[in-house]
Amino acid sequence: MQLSKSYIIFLFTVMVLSIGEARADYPIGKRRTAITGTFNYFYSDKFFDANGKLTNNFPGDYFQSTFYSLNVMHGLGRRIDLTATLPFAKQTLVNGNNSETRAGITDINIGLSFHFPSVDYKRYFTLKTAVGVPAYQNNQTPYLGFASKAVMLGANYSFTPYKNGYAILEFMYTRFLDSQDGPNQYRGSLTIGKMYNKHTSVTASLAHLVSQSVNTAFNPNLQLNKNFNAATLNVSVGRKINRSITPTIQAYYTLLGRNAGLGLGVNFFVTVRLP
Amino acid sequence: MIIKLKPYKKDGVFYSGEKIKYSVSIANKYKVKQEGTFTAIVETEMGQVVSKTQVKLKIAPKGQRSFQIEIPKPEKEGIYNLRAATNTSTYDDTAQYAFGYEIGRINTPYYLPPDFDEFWQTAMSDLAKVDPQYKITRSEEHSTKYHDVYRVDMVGLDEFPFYGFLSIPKLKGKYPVIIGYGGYKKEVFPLLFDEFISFAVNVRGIDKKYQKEFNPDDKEQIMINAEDKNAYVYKGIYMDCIRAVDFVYSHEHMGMDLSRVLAFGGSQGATMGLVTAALVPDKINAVIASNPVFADWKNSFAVGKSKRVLTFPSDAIVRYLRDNPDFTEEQMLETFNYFDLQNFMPKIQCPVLYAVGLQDDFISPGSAIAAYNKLRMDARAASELYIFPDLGHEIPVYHNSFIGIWFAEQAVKRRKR
Repeated sequence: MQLSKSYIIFLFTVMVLSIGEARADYPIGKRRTAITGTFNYFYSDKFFDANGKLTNNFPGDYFQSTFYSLNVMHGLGRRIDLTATLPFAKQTLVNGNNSETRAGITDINIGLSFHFPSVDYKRYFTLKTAVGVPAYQNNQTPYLGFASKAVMLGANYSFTPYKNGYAILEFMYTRFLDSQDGPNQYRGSLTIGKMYNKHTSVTASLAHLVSQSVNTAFNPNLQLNKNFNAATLNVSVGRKINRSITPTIQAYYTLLGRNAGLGLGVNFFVTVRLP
Repeated sequence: MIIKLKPYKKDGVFYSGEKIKYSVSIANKYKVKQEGTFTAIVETEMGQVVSKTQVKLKIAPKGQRSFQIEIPKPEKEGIYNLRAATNTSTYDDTAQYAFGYEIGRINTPYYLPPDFDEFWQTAMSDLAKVDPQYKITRSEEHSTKYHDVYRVDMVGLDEFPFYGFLSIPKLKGKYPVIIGYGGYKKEVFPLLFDEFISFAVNVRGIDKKYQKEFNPDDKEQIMINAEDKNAYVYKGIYMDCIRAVDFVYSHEHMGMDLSRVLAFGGSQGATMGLVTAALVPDKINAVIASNPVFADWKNSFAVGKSKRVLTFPSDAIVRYLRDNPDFTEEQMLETFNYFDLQNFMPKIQCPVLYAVGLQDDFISPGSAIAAYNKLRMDARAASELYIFPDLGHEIPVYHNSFIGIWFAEQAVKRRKR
């Protein structure tokens, strides 16, 4: 049952960071706003054990979640963006005859991005900083996350690798503050995309998250593990349907990991750019 | 010999609190030693020498010398040409550079006709009386998978016909509008923007079909009817620009967001955009003006005439005055003052993105900057001036990218209607 829970943490951490990466991380523009609403469905009945070996849950055991979030990006200046994310999750864990469901607002994130363009404005170096505040307490399983405040620091480099293409090389560091054993999380990702035509983009992203903690002891209750890693691949297709609205569908899959859940997830998000 | 001069500030603009410094690098590609001098001669736009800074040179065969020079500060604000003369044993060369000094203080006298406002109010009233006769025809030739393009024919002052290309993105939505004006006698083609509806305006004189009516005596355009301010060609041209705005404002149903209308152009198109924003300040949100022309005719013409080799428009004017001795420079300027960009600048109320190349042979860069300085304080505070010391009548490619960013920024703010 609990084997899937560690993935919840991983899932949300990754998702919050990956939303908005469907295109190069250019500044949104002074006084412009982009609002992204996300719906995610995730299902898992396997996990990677401490040795990275893919293991099946007991028959009939699974983890399922639906996740909604609202992300707002606003251009405070020509090169500074404010980002805020309000996530809501509903998750169900089935273990034998026992089924648990919990829903609520999870980790609220507020951050700033500072963009530094190249002379030709085609490449950007971006510094990111954010804080995460949990809007829940871990007093009922299945847990929605670490229930810990967090600070995030990161940097990325957006560039054009080929005609009509875009790419982002990013590194993020997250420190969970409320517990002495963290964890510290390091995430590296490479996103490559191409405008298939003027309105349609296809994006692939490879990300690896390493969660490290002095608490390295393996616990069969994976939610207590703070030491895990996982690599995911996600592919998305977005299509602009009018001047302001771009819906995007994204699928992701865990390629490998340790103490992490395996599953296939689907994101559907709609970005509205204002004005 | 390869000589490189780089100003300590990328934009080549210096202020009284700082030194005017250049780094100089001279590479001797010869197999013989070079001895001689490097001289930085600073001149006003009119060619008066204000300082000379000399450095003795000794460069070994195939050697290189790098050094810094400090230019004495000029007494007055302005744009200065810097001639870098290298004279050595076997090599003589002079390269041209330019820098600005205290450009925010550059000012030129107004030659504002007392009836300037009345003149243009009358022109606008006269235009309003002319039925525009809009004719919108879909252009299959220019339409694309993503844009519908229409040729819009209309008539302006004196019932003179002209046209433009209206490009509308096919994706549904209400779009901000960009009105684009072209350079001197240059046809502009449809501008295909994803985030904007664009209207590329070809004022009178562009359509070859009406060339005979436009210029029956085959004069240089700038001199057509220069003898009479009421018949001067630019009265009709500037009113065509206003008619293009009229067209936009009467076709909101085509998806245009009339609370966000911007104008842009380069060279003469920049001037037309600025004049339009001055004449209908309540209808234009922002203007992009790269390398504007026709600013302070008196000074510009004086600078133009002072050059060793005459360039346009000074050469055309000199020729015209020579061929028409009964028409004096003073008389010409009396007409031109009604059309001088600097007289329109204080009437602009919106932000302007303004670019000037300091080695522009077609204008006096100092006059162009002086015109920018004549923006109202509030408009100037919201505007941006970009200086390119190594460029002539052009802007760098990267500035074009910035123009896109700036436009998007300006299109955010809705104008009250």
